[in-house]
Amino acid sequence: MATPRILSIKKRFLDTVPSITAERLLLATEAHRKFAGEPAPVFRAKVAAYVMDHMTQLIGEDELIVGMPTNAFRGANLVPEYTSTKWLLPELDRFPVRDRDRYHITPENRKLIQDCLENEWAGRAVEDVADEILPAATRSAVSNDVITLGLRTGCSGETVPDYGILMGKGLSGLIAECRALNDDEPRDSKASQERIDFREACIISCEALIRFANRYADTARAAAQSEQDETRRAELLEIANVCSRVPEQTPAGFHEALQFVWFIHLAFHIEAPATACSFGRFDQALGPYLRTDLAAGTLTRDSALELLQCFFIKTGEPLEVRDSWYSESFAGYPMWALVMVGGQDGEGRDASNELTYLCLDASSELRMSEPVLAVRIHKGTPEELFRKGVEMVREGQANPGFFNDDVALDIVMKRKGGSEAEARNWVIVGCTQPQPGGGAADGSPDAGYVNTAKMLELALHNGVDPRTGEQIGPRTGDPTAFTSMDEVREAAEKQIMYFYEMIRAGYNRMQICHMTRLPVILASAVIGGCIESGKSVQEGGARYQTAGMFITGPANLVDSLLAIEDIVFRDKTVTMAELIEALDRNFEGDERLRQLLLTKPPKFGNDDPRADGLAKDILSRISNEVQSWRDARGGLYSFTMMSQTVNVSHGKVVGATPDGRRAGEPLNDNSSPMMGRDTAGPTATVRSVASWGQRNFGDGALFNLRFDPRGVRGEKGSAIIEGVIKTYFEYGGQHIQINVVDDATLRAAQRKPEDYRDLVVRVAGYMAYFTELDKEVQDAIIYRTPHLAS
Amino acid sequence: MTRALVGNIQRYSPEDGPGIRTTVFLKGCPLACRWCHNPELISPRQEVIFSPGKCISCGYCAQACPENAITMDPGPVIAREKCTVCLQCAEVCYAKALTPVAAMMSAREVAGTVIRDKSFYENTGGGLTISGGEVLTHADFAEELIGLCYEEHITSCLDTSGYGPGAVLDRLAALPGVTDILYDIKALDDDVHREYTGVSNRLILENLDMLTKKHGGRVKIHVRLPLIKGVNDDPALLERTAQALAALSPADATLIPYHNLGVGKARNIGAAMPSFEPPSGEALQRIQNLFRQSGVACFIL
Repeated sequence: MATPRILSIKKRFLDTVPSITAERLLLATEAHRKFAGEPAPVFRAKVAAYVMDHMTQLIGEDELIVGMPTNAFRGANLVPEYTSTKWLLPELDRFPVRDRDRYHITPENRKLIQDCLENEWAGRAVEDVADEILPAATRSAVSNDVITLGLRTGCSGETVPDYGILMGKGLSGLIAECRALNDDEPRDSKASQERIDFREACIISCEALIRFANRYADTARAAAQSEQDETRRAELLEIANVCSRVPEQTPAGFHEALQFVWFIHLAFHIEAPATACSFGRFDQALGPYLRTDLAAGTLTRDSALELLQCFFIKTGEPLEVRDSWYSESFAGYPMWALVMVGGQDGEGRDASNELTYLCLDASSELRMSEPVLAVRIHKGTPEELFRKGVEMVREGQANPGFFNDDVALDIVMKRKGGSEAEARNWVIVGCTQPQPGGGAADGSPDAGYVNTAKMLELALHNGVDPRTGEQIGPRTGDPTAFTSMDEVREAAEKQIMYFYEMIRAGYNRMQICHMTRLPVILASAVIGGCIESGKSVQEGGARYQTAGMFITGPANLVDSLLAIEDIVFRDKTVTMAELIEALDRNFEGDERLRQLLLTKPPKFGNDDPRADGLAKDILSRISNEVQSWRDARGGLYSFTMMSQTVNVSHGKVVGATPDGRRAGEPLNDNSSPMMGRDTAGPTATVRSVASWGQRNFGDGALFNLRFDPRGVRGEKGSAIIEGVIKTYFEYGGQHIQINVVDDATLRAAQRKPEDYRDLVVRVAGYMAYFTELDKEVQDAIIYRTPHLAS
Repeated sequence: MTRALVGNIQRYSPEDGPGIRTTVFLKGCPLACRWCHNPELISPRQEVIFSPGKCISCGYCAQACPENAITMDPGPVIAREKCTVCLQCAEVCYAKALTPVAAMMSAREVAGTVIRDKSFYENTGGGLTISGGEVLTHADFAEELIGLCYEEHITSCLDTSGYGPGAVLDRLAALPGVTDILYDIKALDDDVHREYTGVSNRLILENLDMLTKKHGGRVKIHVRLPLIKGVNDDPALLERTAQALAALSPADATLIPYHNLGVGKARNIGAAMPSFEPPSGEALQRIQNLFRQSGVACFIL
């Protein structure tokens, strides 16, 4: 049972609707006036430093780990350097009432924000620049949900330092490195000066964060003075002690290590609208500190658990304010704060330790949506650890997710250029994307998503979007002249590659915009390679870098092609012209044809060799092509089968499809089959999903599997879930996450949300409170096939 | 090569024996239990089954029927006495609301599907389960299927009513690869048994006795007791059952409370079936305790 302290902090968290406050906006605006004219990295560092030096500091009641990203509990910042006033201003009225990801704003804050945005920020965001530098066709493809394009509204984020290495150095160590390298600079070229500027900026940021921590020490000391309760006074003095040492110095114990990590992570979210920053191999980095404290008796297991839970709740505090499109497509305030545990050491031995288990216990008791736990499974994973994770899932916690070391090692060595030791030390950057361990990888995962169901629609309309009548894709030929499925497929693939090319061109322009205007300093200083090379992550400073290419609707594409092959070309039940007409009418008056398309041709997800073979073939052609491209920093593009909930937004603009899906309905979820079409049970689903050829995808494949709880009861249920995971991994699956929840519970939660406030579900690479999702996304989760024995 | 009418090959069946299993349902059973949950598998002949939830009332079936046995109201109503099971209605039913109950398949074809989940069996201790219908009326088919799976190192479980020649049961139980048998006891009282299943239980009890004595060492025998309120849940009868089972010492006994899934399915093949009630949760607990006190490991499904 969680302690009263933890229960009260958790309750306060769940009871608080997130709010937007004005403080960072106003401070950053002042800083912009003050420091304009400095070289870009120095300017950015000084803005962040100014904010950190002046922002209000709060210590929550009962907190042991301290530091908030704004001046309010569950507060969020507006960062108009990135997001345009064009939507921020009108959205101010909608934030508190919109369907999803709502934010409360007090009238005073609202007025301050509106005045500041109107007077100071119009037209200055990177999002505004994007509108100028991106071709009209690209902007239109984005606004029509044909593709998405990353970096338009935020920074690359996804910062995953190696906290073990970082804690060993302390920020004082980083500062010393910067100074030493700058002392050796020849100062004889623009390049040299740029390196110096970047390292100067790193020093400014690190020093600002050290001051910020020391100021928290003062805040804690001041609170201690007025504190009546003796126990709490002692705690506050201990907090002061901790904050005066870290992150400047190497932590002396587990409490200091947690606070160290928290300050760094927190600063990423003050500096920029960071997202998906996670903690890497948390048990490896912090395990030694825990072991020492337990051995010395300075902590008991219970007191360590409480500290860890204080930290875990903190991980849910940072927020990124998103526009209405992104709040639907990344539904449920996700921040992808991921804690990875388990796996192997550099020699391939099992690396799990006391902290591995403590993390599972902490999370199991808390049942909150952040942090997301990721358990690495390899041949030497102790049965106790595997089973513990499975038990949590079986109980319906939707946590942890499971990752296959075998596939990740392969990907890191073959696709990411990591050494064997770095591969064994691999980490997730983003949701499921494997990167070399050691804290020198920048994922920049989100270059963009291509809506492949839309691509098929374009192929069936010779490049014209039937929604708008505009020619948006290449003319791939009159579809009624096609004589085989392969010709349709070729046309669809041409459309697909045209739009991936569009993403590449657009993303490279966006990257250039970020590298010249908005390098992110602290988040670069902590990533291996940046200080050495004197370049930010945005400029290509990280030792390893990739950019992710995403996909939506691949199962719809495969199912549709098979339906065309069987019904049009083989059985000749309808002609292509008749089929296209029926699709354009959304099967109006043609329900019988829709039924035929639904029931007769094979569907991906049923272990059908023809469907699975076509799926693998199409995906390997796409992924091989995009993974040969380089981004503006020289990093490789990396393919991933991940949709988040973009499959819902992208589904809205796609008319009826030949797989029997009606117009506007969601597309298939991540790498899973189309919802409800995998009817042969989870073993068949698992075999199909494993057959996409996941080792070829540099950024992996996200797989959601849902069980009906009645089918996985008790000890035997756990054995079955574990067996399914093991088998999936043997088949080459890279990642799996499992929801064990029945329709009745989800529907009851829709009807009476107040009773199900802490019902956590896996959405994509993150979890969310089911009742915080809007109805469409909730329905899309309910439609995921709940596997149950007959 | 033997062939049989196969009602369904159900992959991922964790309740039909240990681990993850693939259950093969064969059509044809000598019993006609009034609570049967698979009434469409009782008759050994092909039938057409209607799934009202899938029907879009397009009327093509009525047009296709050469016997004019189908009228629309608003979905198809089949005059079963006219139906020759020519399956032309199912052919034109795109919504798959009218479908044949079973498919004639060879043991080799069935094994081909069973083998696909081999890795799942290996990781969970699962395998093949042959259910029905009644496996003992398809002994040759079952033997071939079990053999084909055993060649692939897949073990088998039989799900049987026990109503069939003892020699056949003996032969199947002795096959290499058979590890588990699910054995139904519908009622220990023969009058009850005759009334509700249509046959005497003598053969079933004799066979169970033979099975436990002769094969109990090598094959795990799991007794299954369907429990229907007011029919076979009399405490005195169950106490006798528990004692009788204790003497035979099967691996365990599982109580299967009645569910009414069969009622709708019976309607959908044009038959009628009464609806029963399951015993209450408390009653089930009491029965479970009864068995446990007699020394029989007992679970509730």
